[in-house]
Amino acid sequence: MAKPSQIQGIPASAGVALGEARVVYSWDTLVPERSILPEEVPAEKLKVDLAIEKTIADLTRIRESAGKTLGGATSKIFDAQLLIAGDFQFLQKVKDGISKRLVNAESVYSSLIEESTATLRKSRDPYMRQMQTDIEAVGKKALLHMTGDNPAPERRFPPNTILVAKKLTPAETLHYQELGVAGIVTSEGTAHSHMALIARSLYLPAVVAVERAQNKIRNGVRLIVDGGLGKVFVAPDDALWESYKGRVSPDALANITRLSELKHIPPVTTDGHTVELSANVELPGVRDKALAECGIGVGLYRTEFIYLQSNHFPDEDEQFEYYDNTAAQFAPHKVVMRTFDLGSDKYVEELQPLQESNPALGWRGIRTSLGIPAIFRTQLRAILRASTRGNVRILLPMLTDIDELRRAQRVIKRVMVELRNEGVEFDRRIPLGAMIEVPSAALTAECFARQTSFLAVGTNDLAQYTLAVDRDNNRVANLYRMFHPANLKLIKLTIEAGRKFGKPVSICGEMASDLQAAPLLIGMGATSLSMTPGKLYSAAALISALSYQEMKELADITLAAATLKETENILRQFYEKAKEKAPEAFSEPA
Amino acid sequence: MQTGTVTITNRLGVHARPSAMVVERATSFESEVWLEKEGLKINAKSIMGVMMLAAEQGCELNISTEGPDEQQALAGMTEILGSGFGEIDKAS
Repeated sequence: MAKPSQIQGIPASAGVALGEARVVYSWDTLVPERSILPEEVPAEKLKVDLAIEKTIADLTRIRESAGKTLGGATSKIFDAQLLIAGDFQFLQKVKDGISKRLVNAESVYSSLIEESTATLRKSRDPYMRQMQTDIEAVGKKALLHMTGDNPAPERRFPPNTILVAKKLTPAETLHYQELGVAGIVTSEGTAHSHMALIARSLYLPAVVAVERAQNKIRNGVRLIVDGGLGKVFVAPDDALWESYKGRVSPDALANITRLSELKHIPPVTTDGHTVELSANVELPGVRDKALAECGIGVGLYRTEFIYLQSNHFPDEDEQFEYYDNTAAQFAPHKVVMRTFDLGSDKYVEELQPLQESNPALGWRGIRTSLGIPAIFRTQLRAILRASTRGNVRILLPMLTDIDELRRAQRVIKRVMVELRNEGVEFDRRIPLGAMIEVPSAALTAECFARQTSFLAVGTNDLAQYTLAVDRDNNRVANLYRMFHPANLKLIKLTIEAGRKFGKPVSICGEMASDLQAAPLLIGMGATSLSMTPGKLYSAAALISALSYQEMKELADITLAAATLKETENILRQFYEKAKEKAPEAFSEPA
Repeated sequence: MQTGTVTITNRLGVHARPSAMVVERATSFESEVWLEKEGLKINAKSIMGVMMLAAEQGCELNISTEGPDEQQALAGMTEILGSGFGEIDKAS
């Protein structure tokens, strides 16, 4: 029996997973070289062919299932890998190596893979490094087939398996999630790696940068993964296990099952006030249909994920395919497409000629779009073309000044003229909204409300910029308090501006799905809350159990409070009362 | 044998998608097609080979072709490698 211990890593994807560890070793650690006799050469060469055949079959299958769950363009990640796997010239070199050196197939194969990636490894260009990742991913698969020790068998993993690995590619993350993995622990990686972004969009709890995870964690040992805190508990005692049990993240499927119950809970308060609930969406997914059937639209489509999960910049047709699918899937409900919010925490080294010392205050969001008009225009063309398929809206991120909005509007107008001249159909009255996520925009929200069709408050960034706190920095993360009076005042200003000009104001950061914050935001006058799909059920249950009147009163007292301590106390008390009134909002799905 | 030189112009260099395009073009010729960068010479009909060049923007590649259609092969390879691979141009 292992001794209980606790290891700290970096939180990469929130949520709790309980289960048994399955340690996966990286391909490059265990490839022993073994001499062979000349008569063994044909058998070793055959081993290569068989392994490649299986690898190609694996990749083809993953590509198809990725195409099904995440849409056509995602599956293109695997096209390059298929070409790599079947590279005839390379395989010929492997076979020649076997006859010449008289050693086993896997050692020749791995040394040639190593050689092929040598120059790429030295490159600092992310596109070059991506090729290295692709080659290594293929190499790993083929070697596992050669050695016959396949840690990713065709069958599903037993329920509640927690994968422990050195690092995972986005493709592997997707693959393991399909095989039923409940959580991920890796010894390398950062919270902003593509793997972490994919894990978050799949609601798969993950902790990364857990030093020597593969050595510290034994196969089969019980684990608790707390993705929100970045903690991994190895062989926890029963008391800790039980205390965490109630917090296990429902997996994506459980969320979909629960979504169907949403239909029966309209988000209307006991005194008849309707709140619009909508979903934050990163990539097309199986849940889309279920959401649309419940009358839920998309309050925030984070389009940059299309770029993040692929290894090239998506062209107009590729983007159109995504937007068109999503618009059609959700019609007649709204789909708010936020233009690329690249930069800062989202990898865009290839767009940034300089390493920024302070990316959160750097070239990101609308600044990047206005800075590279070709990319902005391509995206706008794709969105506009998709606009006839459903209820599509455009949202601009990271606005700090009204001039940026005007410049963006001019680009949109030009693109519209272009499309009209080409005879392409689009929604000429497509609503344009401003994302309010910087204090300067919140303070001048009236200007934005006057000139746009709607406002959307991005609470995560707004709080980060208002409080000057980077939540990913463990030393200051405790200073990130969304209920800080200053933050609440800025949100209130934005809502008031919307109300003055008759424009809806939606809240689409994490605050929207926080059960303490939601009643406050509605009481303050937010017309719409947009959140991760897994939280919609709880939000609807809570709203339908409370009255608009009590939420307005809550907002009044909270905004009158002068200190953070006071606001937090008021909200906690309300939360305890709400818990009694709407127990189903706080229960986990069965 | 035919030889020539080409400079990679597109900003992202010969990454995964262009590599596939290069191989596709090279295999359309009967001749042998080789690319060389800083002393590293590879077979252009192998995607692993093309990838391992790590040909970033601005780098020079030597092309050599040998076989029945070596002239067309040289012209074809010069064209595809110098084409920018249909990438969005940042400056436009």
